[in-house]
Amino acid sequence: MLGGIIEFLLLKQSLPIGISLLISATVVSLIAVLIHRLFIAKTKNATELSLIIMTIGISITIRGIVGILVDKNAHPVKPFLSFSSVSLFNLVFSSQYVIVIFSTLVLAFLLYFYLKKTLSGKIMQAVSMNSLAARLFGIDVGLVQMSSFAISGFIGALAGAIIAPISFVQYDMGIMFGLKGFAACVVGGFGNNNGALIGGLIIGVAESLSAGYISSSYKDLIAFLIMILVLFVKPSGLFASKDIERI
Amino acid sequence: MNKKTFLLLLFILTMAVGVVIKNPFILNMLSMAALTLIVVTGLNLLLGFAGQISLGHAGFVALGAYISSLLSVKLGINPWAAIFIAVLVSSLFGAIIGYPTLKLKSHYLAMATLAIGEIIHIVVNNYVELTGGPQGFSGMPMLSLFGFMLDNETKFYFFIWPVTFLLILLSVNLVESRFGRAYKAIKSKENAAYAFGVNVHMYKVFIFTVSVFYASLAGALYAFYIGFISPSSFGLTQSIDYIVMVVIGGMGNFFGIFFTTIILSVLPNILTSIEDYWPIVNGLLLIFAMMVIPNGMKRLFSWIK
Repeated sequence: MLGGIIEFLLLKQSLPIGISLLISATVVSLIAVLIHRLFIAKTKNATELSLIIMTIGISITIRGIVGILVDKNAHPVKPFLSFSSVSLFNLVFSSQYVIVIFSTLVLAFLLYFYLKKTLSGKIMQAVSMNSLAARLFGIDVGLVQMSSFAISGFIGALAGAIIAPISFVQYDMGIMFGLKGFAACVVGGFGNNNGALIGGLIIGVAESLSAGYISSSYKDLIAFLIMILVLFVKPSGLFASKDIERI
Repeated sequence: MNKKTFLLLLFILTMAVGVVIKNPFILNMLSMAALTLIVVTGLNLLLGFAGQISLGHAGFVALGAYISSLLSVKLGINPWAAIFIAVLVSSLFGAIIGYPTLKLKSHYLAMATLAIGEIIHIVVNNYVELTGGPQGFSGMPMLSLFGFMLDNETKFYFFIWPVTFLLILLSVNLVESRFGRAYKAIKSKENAAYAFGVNVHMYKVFIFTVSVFYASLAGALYAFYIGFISPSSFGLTQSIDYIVMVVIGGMGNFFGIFFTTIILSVLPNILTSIEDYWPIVNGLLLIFAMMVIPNGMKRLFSWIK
């Protein structure tokens, strides 16, 4: 949400799209680091539950502040490309959708590359598996957590900014995206990036189909229904990797 | 001091307040606080004792409110029977939906329950033919008890507070039973509880169902008290309000939660000028509570055994 809002504010100053995209993502990742520094790292005897409650607190505070500083209305953002549609095999796409799909694939590839092939990515995975053991191997766990906050803030802001021309920007636009992203993870299976991509695809297609065949007002419902169905039938997700601890 | 003695003292105090205060505005505020307290007491069992988060409790309140209102208005069923059926159906729904979702842990559980709350909200908001959609739903008859119509603020006050205390007593008893000890074990070390033969998953589903029971009962009573319900009273904001009350009250502490809930549900009515800032206040309260006083107001009431 912050990504979209900051981009909207920068574009209003008639900055070029590339620069505003970069600035908004950087600013948000700095904010994420700041949040980690100020709140998360300072919390003593943090349990998982207390951190969850705290992040809920942080998210409603940010939403509240933006709701007052900017306003609560939905604002349109103009598409990134000058031409509005692309046609491919007799199918016509809006140009922004092409950008979204393209950047999703690029980001997914980069993330995969980072986590599997680079040393710092492997360290991050080690910390997430067992932070105590990672610390014993001489890894600075605090630093790794901070950089994971920065990366997730950066990607989240980028996503918000890229989707903005399609969805409009609004102070509470993030909740639905967060929930749908979560639903995609459940369907695809946690700890499996490719599974999450396919899960997202399944949910997106199901939503559009239901909007066409049933009613568009219930299309948000479909994502959650699919998620709960998957939880019932195969809680580890459709494409789960073997060792899932979360479920 | 014994927990139940203190509860009795509080009960006498609230009854005295009801006798002394004649202002319908204040009585109405306190009755609404009692309804909120019912939901929060249920959520406290889930979050405070079993350590399982739910971000969808406003959805269950909505379920109780809408089912009971629809039954009584559209089918002309007696209000009490409608409330009974609504609570039963909602609890059953909670048990069914809780079974898969409580397999999830920590923030995955938070997201899943948030999604459940959203589902209920979306259905209520969009099924206009049945629920009236965003315009709301009204026409519920007044409740009557033994020939007494609960038709003004004072009468409802003297109805809702005893009910609330009864429900608090119920949850105190539940926590101090053999059940309660199992939940303490689950909260502190789930694997250890499992090793000692506690069926962790079924216990979680049970406590979730109990808390849905509390939420839907409060919702049904709210619907018949106010006589008008709309989806905006059962959104994410309310779910988060409930969480704030449990957390600041000191998770698991009945009396901290008692006072926090009353204060936090009365304050927004008095400070109407800062309505826009309320979410920020809530957010900061949560952050502050987790950083500085992770036990909330527990220490204030530690003398009650």
